[in-house]
Amino acid sequence: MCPDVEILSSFYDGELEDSQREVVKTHVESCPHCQKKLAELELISNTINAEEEPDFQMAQVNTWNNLMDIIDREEHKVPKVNFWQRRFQISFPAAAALVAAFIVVLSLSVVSFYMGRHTTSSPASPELNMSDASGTLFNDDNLFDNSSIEFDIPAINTFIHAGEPLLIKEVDFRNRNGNN
Amino acid sequence: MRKLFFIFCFFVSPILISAQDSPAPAGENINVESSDSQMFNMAIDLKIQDGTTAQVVSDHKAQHKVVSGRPVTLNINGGNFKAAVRFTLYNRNADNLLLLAQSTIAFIKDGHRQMLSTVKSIPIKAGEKVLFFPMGVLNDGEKSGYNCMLEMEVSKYQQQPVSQE
Repeated sequence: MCPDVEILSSFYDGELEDSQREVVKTHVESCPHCQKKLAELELISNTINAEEEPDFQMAQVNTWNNLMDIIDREEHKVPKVNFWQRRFQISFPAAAALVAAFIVVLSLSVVSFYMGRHTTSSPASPELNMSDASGTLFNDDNLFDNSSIEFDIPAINTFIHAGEPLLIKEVDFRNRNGNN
Repeated sequence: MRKLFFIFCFFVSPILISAQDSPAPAGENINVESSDSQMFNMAIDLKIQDGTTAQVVSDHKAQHKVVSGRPVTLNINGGNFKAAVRFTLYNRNADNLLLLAQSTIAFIKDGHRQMLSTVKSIPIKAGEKVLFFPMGVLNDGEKSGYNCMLEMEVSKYQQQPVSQE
């Protein structure tokens, strides 16, 4: 009677006691079926031993590195937040200053707006017709730019210096000459 | 809350923009009437008069608009003299004016070139005629030369009607 496969496997691995090993050995030498089973066990054993053992240490390192990369990405990842839900970090004094400045600007603008409307609608301050004013003041080339007048009188070389310049009213001059 | 703030700004911004475009207050407007009261017409008539015959041998006329406090300079180029006269009109009040004449005259006398600078002033009223003799007035015994006389009349500035074209 042939031994069990497990007993044959133990025999192949040398795990049987001496008495059992001798019995099984005697049987296998005379039994082609058991020899075939042993050959199959040997083939399986050789096949398993032929495969390379995986490098668990390298796999561990790679796994660790991948984990570190994932953690790093998660830490530096900018979360997409909706604008209306975004939180702005601003200190209280700065916020108070911004609010105060906004209120001041708003107040001034509203006041100036209503003052402007008041002045334009007031009949006591008619609007200046700037076209007339500019026509009066600036369209005359002779007003400001050409404030120098040139007189070229005939080349009479008999002008006599009779004394200091005299500035006098015409009436007074006529009276003076009349008295003379 | 944030949405309310933006909606508030949306409605307030037109007010802010229109406030910037509002015209200047009435106090900053230019007072044209006040400007006109400081402007005058000055009619200048330069006459060269023969001292012997009292005949006017040369007559040059000019019209000038002057502003109170702003000088008008007259340059007279004669045969043997040159004169630069600066007239400044000051409006003291109503019709009372002050005419200031600063003159620098270069002339040749006794073969030497001489210069004379003077400042004269006279209170006048609008419409009065004023005479200015840059070389002085010839005396009776010096009638052989020529008198150089500036005749001036200051009147209030009248705005010319703007032609409709």
